[in-house]
Amino acid sequence: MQILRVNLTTNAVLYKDVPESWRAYGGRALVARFLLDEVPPTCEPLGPRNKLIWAPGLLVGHMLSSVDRISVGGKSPLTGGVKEANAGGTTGMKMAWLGLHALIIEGGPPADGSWKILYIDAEGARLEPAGDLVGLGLKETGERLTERYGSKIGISAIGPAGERLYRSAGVTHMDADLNLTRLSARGGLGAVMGSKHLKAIIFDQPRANRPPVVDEQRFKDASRAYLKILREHPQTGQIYPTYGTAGMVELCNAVGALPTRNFSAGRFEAADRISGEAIHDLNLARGGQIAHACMPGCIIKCSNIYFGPDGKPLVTPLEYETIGLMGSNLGIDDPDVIARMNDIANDMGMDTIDTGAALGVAAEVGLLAFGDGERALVLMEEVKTGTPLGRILGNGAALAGQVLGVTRVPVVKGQAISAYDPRGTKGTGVTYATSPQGADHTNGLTIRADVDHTDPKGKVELSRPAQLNMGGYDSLGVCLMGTFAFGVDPTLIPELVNGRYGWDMEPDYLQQLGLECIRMEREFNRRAGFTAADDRIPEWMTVEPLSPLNSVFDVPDEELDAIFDG
Amino acid sequence: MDEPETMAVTVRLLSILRHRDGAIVDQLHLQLPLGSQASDALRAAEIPSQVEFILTVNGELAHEGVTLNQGDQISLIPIIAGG
Repeated sequence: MQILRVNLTTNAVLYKDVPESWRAYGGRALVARFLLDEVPPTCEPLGPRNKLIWAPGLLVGHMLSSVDRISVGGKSPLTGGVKEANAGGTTGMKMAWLGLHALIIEGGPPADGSWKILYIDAEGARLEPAGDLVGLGLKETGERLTERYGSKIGISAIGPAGERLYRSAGVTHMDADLNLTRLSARGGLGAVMGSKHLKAIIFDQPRANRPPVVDEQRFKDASRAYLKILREHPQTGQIYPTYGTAGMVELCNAVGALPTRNFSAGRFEAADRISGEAIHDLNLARGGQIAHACMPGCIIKCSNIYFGPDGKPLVTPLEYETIGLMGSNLGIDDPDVIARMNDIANDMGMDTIDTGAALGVAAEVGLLAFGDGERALVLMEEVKTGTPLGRILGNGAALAGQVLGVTRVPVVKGQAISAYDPRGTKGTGVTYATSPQGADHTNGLTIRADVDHTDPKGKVELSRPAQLNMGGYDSLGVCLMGTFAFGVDPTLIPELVNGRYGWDMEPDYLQQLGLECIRMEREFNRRAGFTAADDRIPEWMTVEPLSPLNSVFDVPDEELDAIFDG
Repeated sequence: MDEPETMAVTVRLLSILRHRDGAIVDQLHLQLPLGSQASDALRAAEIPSQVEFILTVNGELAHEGVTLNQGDQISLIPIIAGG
């Protein structure tokens, strides 16, 4: 495996062996190690000293269900700190098949201001002019790239949001059906790519070329056991394929943590109209698709292709976080409106969480009435065309709050809170507060735990192992949906890693890897100027009770500060 | 006039619990003896034991030991872990 390094200022393309100190890391942990080693922590995130890295997880490349994720990383223009954003699609697998442990993008933009495409195949890599792709949405970008390079490529690309340096811009990857819709969404990494004038990366490796496995039998046995759990358990074998992540709407609403009208309530009176059940029934009645896989080999298939009233595909995927932030958070109860907003965000290449949260902030000052779906779509069109208001909203909830004079802004470290109100699920709130990434449910979601989610006691103890596990999973390329099966049999991860690399990792390998990852991330943030004051839930959520639970976020600061001690 | 000996409760089925015998069933209407608990409703509704779920009664989180009243609506929401 090699490291490919491409400089947008000099056009230099360099392949090198993986440094010894990077070999134990992939995905998120490699992002953290790379940032500490190579990126000045106080650099301007949208300047030439920031770098981007694509890093498949350590177990990627084997078409093992839900274990082919790609991590993209860099210094975040949204949070000012460490950022890793992982996604499905085929990018991770194609990179592993190309023998790439990581791809690093440096420098930029080119001196002549031109935009580039990076083309990579088994023979090497080269920069090509992006030309007519600049300014295009991701649908058209994907179509033109597959016309030009064929249908067996992988793609990472940015849409207009990244080109305009919106801080909610992500990096989008192609899925198994050639939809350019799988987003490394969070933290504005698409803007970093845009700052370097890199429109797209082509990973041209049509032939399966699995990375070497030291102990095939051991790897195979663990893979079989893992797949058996995935198939047999109701959650991964039935719920996700049928309802996708939208199955969370009713659950989170019942718990009382579903963001509603800019996080002013935790239950939405019309939750049943935007629930997984409602969307499932409507979508199937229109001829839409459920049980859609974003990664080849995935047997969970939590994705969907949501069809509009005209019986044609409207958006893929329509997921819980989008439903929460662009639906209930805006008082919107029409799945078609949410899907249309989602479609605009997808084509722009931007995070629906931060964008939905920004619209919720805009509603606080009357730019949108809660429940007015048509007005929400008008605002999304402004984001798309790039009016001054659209640019404010496109830069996320934190900036929108500053410009519009709103203090009820649901962000941590500048990044919008996902669709679990921290006052209604305080373990997840601890994760939002203390994750080096900023507010992000994927860093340690606790809603599944059988506890009183409004009691502050024990929530640091609940969040810590969840965060360590996710730090580990994100470094291995494991999808959040697959983590459930690995939780059922914790021996499987060490078995897979030991089989793949011939290592001799102990049973606590996953947590140790996660802890190491988070400590590196915290160190980068410390050097970037972060302090304990950044590890806090927004102050208004500590004094404004969440309806109807009447709960404030009250996990003590000293407990938050000690979470990663020991 | 004698007091009624049974009460009507509704069980709202969500996610995969809606799928029964090849059809989608969103609600079950049960007649249960007075004083029945939620666990009695689950038995009467033949809820599969391998599915983990949370339970609400009239929209509020509850447990299987809660005593039901006439007209109560129970919702059974299978647990998932990510979104």
